[in-house]
Amino acid sequence: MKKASFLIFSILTFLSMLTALFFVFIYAPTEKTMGVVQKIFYFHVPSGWIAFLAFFIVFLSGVIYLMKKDKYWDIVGSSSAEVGVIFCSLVLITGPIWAKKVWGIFWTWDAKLTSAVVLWLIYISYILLRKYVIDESKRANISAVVGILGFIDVPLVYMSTRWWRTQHPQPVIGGGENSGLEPKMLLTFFICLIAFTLLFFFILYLKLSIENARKEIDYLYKSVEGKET
Amino acid sequence: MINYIKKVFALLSKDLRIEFRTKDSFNSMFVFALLMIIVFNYAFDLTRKETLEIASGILWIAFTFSGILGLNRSFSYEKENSAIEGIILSPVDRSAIYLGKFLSNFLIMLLFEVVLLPFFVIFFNLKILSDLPILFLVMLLGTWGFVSVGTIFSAISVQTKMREIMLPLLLFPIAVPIIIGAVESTSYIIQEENWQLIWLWIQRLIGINVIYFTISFILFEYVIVE
Amino acid sequence: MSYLFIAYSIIWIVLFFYISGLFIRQKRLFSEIENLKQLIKEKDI
Repeated sequence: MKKASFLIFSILTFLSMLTALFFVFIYAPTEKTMGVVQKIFYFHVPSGWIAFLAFFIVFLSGVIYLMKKDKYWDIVGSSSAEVGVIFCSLVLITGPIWAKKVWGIFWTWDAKLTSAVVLWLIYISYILLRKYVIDESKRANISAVVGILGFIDVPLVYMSTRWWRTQHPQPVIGGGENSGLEPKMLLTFFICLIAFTLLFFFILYLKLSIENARKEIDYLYKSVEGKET
Repeated sequence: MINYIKKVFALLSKDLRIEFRTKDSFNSMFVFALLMIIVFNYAFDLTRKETLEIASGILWIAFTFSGILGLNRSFSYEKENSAIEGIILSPVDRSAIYLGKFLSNFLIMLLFEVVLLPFFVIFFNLKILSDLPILFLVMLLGTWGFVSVGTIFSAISVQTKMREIMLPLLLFPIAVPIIIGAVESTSYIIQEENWQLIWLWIQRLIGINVIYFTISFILFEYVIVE
Repeated sequence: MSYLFIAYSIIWIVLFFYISGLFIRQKRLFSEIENLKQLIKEKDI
């Protein structure tokens, strides 16, 4: 991406985030039962979807890397994992804040929350794994395998926790707001979703350009050494 | 095909022979699990009814935490002696290595569980003699699933700097569905619930096992590369 | 109301610091690339 188009992309992302803020605080009506706190939902849920998108990209990059052995996909996967962890952490932080205000409890081990924690753990271990692998040449392969297994795990955890929970009923968090959103709220939600998606790809692009810069520096160092000998 | 089976068997018997000679894994797993069960008895002051409710959980915590000890060792022998290069260079299909390792881990862990079970029954005063076959089936399935992902993660973590912490860190989130399935099935057996419920959970366990085993089997070759 | 404020502040602060961090790193790497390119040009002369 050339400098000009990157600049436009940055501005677009920034503007969309501001627009989202405006919609959340000024346009969207206040919810009856939960009050103003419900507005956390507009940033909380899109963060969750984006975290999931990020980890899906990790999965996909893993599969493509194992097939094609192109290092580019390893870099896409690892960058996406790091960004995904950031958004997943935001979900895990904003969720309990909302829950405490509305339901009086910080946490419950229902399907969604458990899956979120497990997701977070899997990708933290993915990142640590990449850091601690001894042999660099093996890192890409191993990360791809963990990324694939990790992503498959998530629906399994969600389902098995759901089955477990129907046997042992627990307080339900966040079940309500999906049932029938008022059109104004729906619009606000989608605007936030778009803003967050732009933000995600913006950050991902930044990370990829950093990795490319690193590669170029390595290459340039080698050229300098070549000229010295 | 016969050749393949022979190779798997060769790898399997090698690992089992090492284990029977040293009894490293088995002893550490057994003692650790026993200690866990004893500590749990001190940690919780339970009524009879409460004990029955959480017995299954305690059992599977003991199984899985001790299982990690056994899994940690499964590739560390080869890594220490660089025997892993020997295996890679030999004309063996990577998936055969996976099967050989999986089976040896599986059999050792299953043996450990079978030996631990009587102690568990005694300490918790359980009445499960009539349900023994079904309980064995659940133990088999739970161990199968746990070891199938455990083997591949053991191969991965042995190539890292912090292998003792990487294995549990990688394995436990992935093993959550298996553990839920195993704990639920065992819990219903212990509390003598109706058959349909138990059977339902067993079916779920089988489904999860199929997914995990197949994928681990396919992906293993990418983990062990020269 | 304060809960809402806290939640949104956390989101914005985290994102702000993270993205700034990335920008700073990028700038540093780009300037290093420029230095190296200069170095190579000098060696050629």
